[in-house]
Amino acid sequence: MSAAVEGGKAAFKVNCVQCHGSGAAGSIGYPNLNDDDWLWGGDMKALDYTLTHGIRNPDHPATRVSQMPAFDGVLTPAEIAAVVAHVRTISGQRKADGLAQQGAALFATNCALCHGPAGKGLRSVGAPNLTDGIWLYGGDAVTLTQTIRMSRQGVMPRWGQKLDATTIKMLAAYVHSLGGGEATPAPQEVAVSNVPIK
Amino acid sequence: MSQSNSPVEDAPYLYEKRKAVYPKAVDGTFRRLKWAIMLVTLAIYYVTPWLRWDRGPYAPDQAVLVDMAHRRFYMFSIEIWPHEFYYVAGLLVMAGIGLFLVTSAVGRAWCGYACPQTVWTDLFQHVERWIDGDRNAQLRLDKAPWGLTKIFRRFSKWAIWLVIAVSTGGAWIFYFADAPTLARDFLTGQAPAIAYSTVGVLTATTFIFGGFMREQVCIYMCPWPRIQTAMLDEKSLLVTYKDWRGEPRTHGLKKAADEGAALKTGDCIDCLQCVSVCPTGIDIREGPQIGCITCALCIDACDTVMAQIGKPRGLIDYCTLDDADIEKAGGQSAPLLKTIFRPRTLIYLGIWTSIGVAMLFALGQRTRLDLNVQHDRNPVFVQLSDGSIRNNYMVKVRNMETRPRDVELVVTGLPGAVVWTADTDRVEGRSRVDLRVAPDSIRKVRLFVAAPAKGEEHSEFKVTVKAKSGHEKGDTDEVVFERPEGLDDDEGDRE
Repeated sequence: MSAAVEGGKAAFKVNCVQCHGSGAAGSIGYPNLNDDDWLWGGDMKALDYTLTHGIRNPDHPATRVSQMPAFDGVLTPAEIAAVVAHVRTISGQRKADGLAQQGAALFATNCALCHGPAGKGLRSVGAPNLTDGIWLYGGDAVTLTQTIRMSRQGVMPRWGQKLDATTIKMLAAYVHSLGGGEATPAPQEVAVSNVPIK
Repeated sequence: MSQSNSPVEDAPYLYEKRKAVYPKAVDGTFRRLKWAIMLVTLAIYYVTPWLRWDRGPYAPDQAVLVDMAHRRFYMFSIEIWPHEFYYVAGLLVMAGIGLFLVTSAVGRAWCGYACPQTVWTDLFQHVERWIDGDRNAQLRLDKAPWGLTKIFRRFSKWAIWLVIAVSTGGAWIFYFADAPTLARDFLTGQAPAIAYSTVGVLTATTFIFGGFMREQVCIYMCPWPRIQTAMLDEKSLLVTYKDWRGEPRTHGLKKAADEGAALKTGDCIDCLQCVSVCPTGIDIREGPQIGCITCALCIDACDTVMAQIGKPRGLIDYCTLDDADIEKAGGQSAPLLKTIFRPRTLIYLGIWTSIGVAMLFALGQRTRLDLNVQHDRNPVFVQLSDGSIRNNYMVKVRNMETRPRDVELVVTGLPGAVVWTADTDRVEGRSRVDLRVAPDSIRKVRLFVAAPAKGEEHSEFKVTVKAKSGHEKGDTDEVVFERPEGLDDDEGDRE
């Protein structure tokens, strides 16, 4: 394993395990960093940015922000139940029926802007893919109803404030190595992720 | 008048001062055998590190090398890794049983001929005779007052000893590093400090043990003579003075001839040649003793004298205690081969040989491609976005050959398994990955294995490493694929 990954592992144990867990498997509300699902991108560059600027940091213009509206009051409970049915249908947890069809129409007008017409999500705004098997808060009807009614506003500190750039790069390398790392678009970052294995 | 018998002076002194030994030069069968063995053993010691053995571009070309830094032991075509150290242990066991075998068959032959202490002392004594002259000249020189000649002789003797000692210590270090490189570094002052200190210590021990302590090492320091007293039995070959033939001793030929008619005379004429040539300074006629290293030089000396006085050889000879009794009673002793090959020696030989054969067999069967797979414990499994489950494994592939090897890791026994690493992409249906392992090294790889969520909570499967080319033996490891609890019945709604 490269020295960067080992260094990142050490830094992770100090700074990140409190929320993400010692195996980086996360928990409800705290993403599992081992999997292949990323809200903001899983390549070295995206990881480095997320680590440096954090998520939903107040008073920090560069931070990653996604504002899921709270639909309580915007949609009626019955409409919310229909949207929940639709989301559970597109994620393969439920068979399509009339309620889901009604939800699909509501989804197209209220949700598709961020989550996409097919519910595949949009990384530029941090909107999760609703069709896959991974749920940050839970994919069951009760949790989804709660999420749509009240919204979710998970926060991650901006580590650029506290850690130096090298440590952040090592952390990115470590998280990238956990199994869900994605190919990096920029060539200079490719060099970083290809630190020779000793 | 002084009172000389004070209690302090009367107290017994526990240390016996060394009685100087000036062994006389001798020639004969056993002396020549000793020369030959000395030549062979010293040649093995000094020449071995310089032998070359081509192992290709990725391994050292020294035939015998204990490479501590890289934790490898090379001996001609055999390369030993640290985890194969039991081969070295096996060799040590063989060396131990070999000593038992030799001792029970031919007595203290190791002490008399092949032990480094004996070989180097012999060499030093030879130098001593070359500089100072033979026994009598040495005795005279020792008693002579310090003068120019004595100072010159002492210094030249010590100088030659020191050269031998330094080259002895010097040769040792070449077993632990590339000999030509280390020799150059050593002479130019570039070698590591440990090389110099090792040479220093071994120079000192060689100089002191070979030049000054000599037989005291055998008599007082070495544990082996003590063990041998337990190893020897009535059928072991010992250097024996045949007292039934030699006694009573008669001083001088003439006297023996004169008195021969009147009283019974033995063959021993008390010429003390056996004592003069003894490198440990003992009198073999006193019987077997711990100081006798059975170098057999007294046999050579006595045979020479017996030839001169016209008596048959072998007044002092290799003989077992059993044969001594038979000969004393006037019988014929058993043939030598029958003495050597008896149940006890054959049992030792059997044990010794079977260990050797077992190790050779193991050596021929050992795999040069080794696999170790360890399941990641945290997290035990990872839920993937497509609904499948991924487990991570730390895989160590050990390439114990001195060439790079292309190998493949194959996963079997896990339905629907997809296997990839950080360097390869996840491709559906592919359950094998290719790896290149550098020569003589271990490659650590994180192996990602994904399988459908449906299945047993703990599924056992196999990971196999195979060489891509040829028919070399591979290795297989059995591991477990873990799935979340109760996923099997997680269909339908959970509202």
